[in-house]
Amino acid sequence: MAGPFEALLPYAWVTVFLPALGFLLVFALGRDRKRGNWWLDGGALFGISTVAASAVLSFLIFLEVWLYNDPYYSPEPWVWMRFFDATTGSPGLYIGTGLHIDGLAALLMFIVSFLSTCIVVYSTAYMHEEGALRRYYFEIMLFITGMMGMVVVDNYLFAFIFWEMMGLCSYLLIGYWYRKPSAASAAKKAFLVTRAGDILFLFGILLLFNNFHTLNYRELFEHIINGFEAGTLSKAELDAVAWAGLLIFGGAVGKSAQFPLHVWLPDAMEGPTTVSALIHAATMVKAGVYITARSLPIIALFPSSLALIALIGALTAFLAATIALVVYDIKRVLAYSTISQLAYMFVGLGTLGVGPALFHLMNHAFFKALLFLGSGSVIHGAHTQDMRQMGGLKDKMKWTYRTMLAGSLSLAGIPLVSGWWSKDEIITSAARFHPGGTLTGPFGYLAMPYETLGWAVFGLCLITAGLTGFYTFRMIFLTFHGKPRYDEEHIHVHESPGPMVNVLKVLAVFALLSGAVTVGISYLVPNAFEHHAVDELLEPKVTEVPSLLTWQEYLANPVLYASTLIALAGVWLAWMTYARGFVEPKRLVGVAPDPATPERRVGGTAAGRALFYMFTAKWGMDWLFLKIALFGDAGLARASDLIDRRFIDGTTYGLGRSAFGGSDVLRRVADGVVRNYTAWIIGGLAFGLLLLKYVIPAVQGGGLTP
Amino acid sequence: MIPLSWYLYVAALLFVIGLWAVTRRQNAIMVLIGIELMLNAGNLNLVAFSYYRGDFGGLTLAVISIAVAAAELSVGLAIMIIVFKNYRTINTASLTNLKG
Repeated sequence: MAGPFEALLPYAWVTVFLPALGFLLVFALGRDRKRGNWWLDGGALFGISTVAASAVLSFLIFLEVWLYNDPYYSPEPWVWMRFFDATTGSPGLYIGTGLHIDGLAALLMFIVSFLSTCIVVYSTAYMHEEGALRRYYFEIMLFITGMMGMVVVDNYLFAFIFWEMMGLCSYLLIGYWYRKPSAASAAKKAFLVTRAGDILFLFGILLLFNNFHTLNYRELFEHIINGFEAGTLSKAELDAVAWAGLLIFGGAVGKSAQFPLHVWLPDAMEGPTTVSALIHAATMVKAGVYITARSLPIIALFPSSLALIALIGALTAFLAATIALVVYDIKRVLAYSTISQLAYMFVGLGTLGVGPALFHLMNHAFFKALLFLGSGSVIHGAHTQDMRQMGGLKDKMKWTYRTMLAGSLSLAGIPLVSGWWSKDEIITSAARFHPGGTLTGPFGYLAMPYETLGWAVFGLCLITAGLTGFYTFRMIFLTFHGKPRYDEEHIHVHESPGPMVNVLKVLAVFALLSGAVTVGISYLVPNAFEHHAVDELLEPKVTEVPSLLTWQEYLANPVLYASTLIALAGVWLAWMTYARGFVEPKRLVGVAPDPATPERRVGGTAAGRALFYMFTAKWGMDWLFLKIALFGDAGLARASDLIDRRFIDGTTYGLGRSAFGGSDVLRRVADGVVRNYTAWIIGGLAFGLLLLKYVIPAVQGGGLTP
Repeated sequence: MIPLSWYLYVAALLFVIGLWAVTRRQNAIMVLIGIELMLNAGNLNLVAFSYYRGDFGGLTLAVISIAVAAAELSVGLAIMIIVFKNYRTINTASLTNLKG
């Protein structure tokens, strides 16, 4: 079956080149302050036009692939370099790429380009007072190119290339205000931490290439899966696939900020809020989920790998949610929330609830971008990021309030709003994931029965749902409700300008409805989402674990009620605490005498204080990394220094000194007395003659000849 | 006939004595005498080989060698005189301008 836009599919690469063109145009033609017009400054219009065109094309491709089930895989790759196999004469290896537009790719193309357009439009207003606008816009354009490129290519090599491109842009954009030390440090931290993940990713790719000599998704997966089922893969190859799958997930752990490589994301909030929205909520952090979903056919061959992914997801979700409870910076609440929600997606992937995971990816992209942009609006209006200095904004920033409320309802998982559908499906998937047996494979030493693991994952996800409801509405109530805690006379809070608020409104519509619309479509076309989103090679496994539920199953599902109740309980608790003031936090966790060090508190309960301290200290992760850096890195540095100064320099200087010393000794020959010179010469001559006559023949032939 | 090797041994002995004189005597005149001794030792070698092989080539070379020795000795004496004029000594050990 072919749809009306079928002819567009082979041109999907245009969606990557358009933002690249925007990058070039902004770079060449953008001026920081062209006319003081928001649309023209910094070359914004070039950016908006190219990205919007890319979004339109992506949307049409998305419709084509999803409505008409018409994926596109390039028959012939574009080859950059070809390595001929001289012995056999075959074309052999090549560096090149083709297009691989399946449901997953089309979904991400649509999400990324659409949200990028929204965010670039929003940026025209948000960033208009900044300098260096041109740099901002072309860095954003480069980033969009990277993300779009990553989702359309058909092999791991090019995916990695674009992955790295995004990492670079993340560094550049977080460090946009590079003169601010905290921003520069945060950018460096982001790059280094994701680099650690990238190295794991690279090792995974190398393992796959070494064993199978191809990195093309289709060739690789088909070969591996057919080999696995027929039993023709050798032990070495099986090990390679198992480890490669986990290593690729390791890359995702870095990029998508999962434990233990999550530490860069909260610090990345040093960048402009639009950057946080684009990169750290809507797109780049989704790249890890994308590549894991892409690799799932080979990861799913080893249930222990899946279990590990689900476990890390569940732990991260819980960890991040607890930290989000205690932070005061509105952006950091959202950052930890992002980590937590991404973890949910990994739980979904790990429990083979691929449909729910990707459904949640889509919903989360919309509502998190909305929340970040909304927080940008709040920051713009209230001139602060600290929620302790906000309050009562709901009357002064009406649309910001309403749209953020929409996003928060979605995030917390309020019934019928988009986040609810996907989050519950993931939790259901977690509850259903216990195929029995024990863990084996590379992590066999865990020796934990699946049952226990399944319950642990499920339990953590459920508790986190409650925490999510709580911290989300804590944010809302602290920011928008109550009495203003800022100086009303000197700070005038006003609603944000047009481009910002309009984008918020558009995104709010998507955030509210994306869930219902998708489920509605699934009701009409059974398993529509899953069928399109899940790789066809994976489908046999996935349908064993039913993911997207029908209406009947939904209403009969106890997990649904449990998680909804917990989420609502969280919201209600937040309401009681922050809106009604019925429960005062300081009775549980005490107050901090010095606001600059909120972890030092007095009063309240001991348990409360302890928990608060632990959460504020981010479970000791920063301390741990510092210790590792000081011990490992500094130790290594000291050892290297020692080797360099003592041995290497010692050798070179030693050689020099021995030359000097030796020459001092030899110098005594030249005493000026010619008679002695003569003696030396004759002596040397005699020695040479002896050598010639006796030693050399002896060495050559053996035996002395007189 | 006495063996050839006897002549060669004597010549070698003379040569070594001459060598010793060149290297170990401080008086420049003794150095020149040493050089002469070495040259004559070589001549003796030439003559001995020539006699035992019946070849006149050695004798010819010996005569040329004597002439060369004479010429070179006179040059050496002349240098010695000039050195004496400049340094007032013919002690080889004290002529150390080449030191370093």
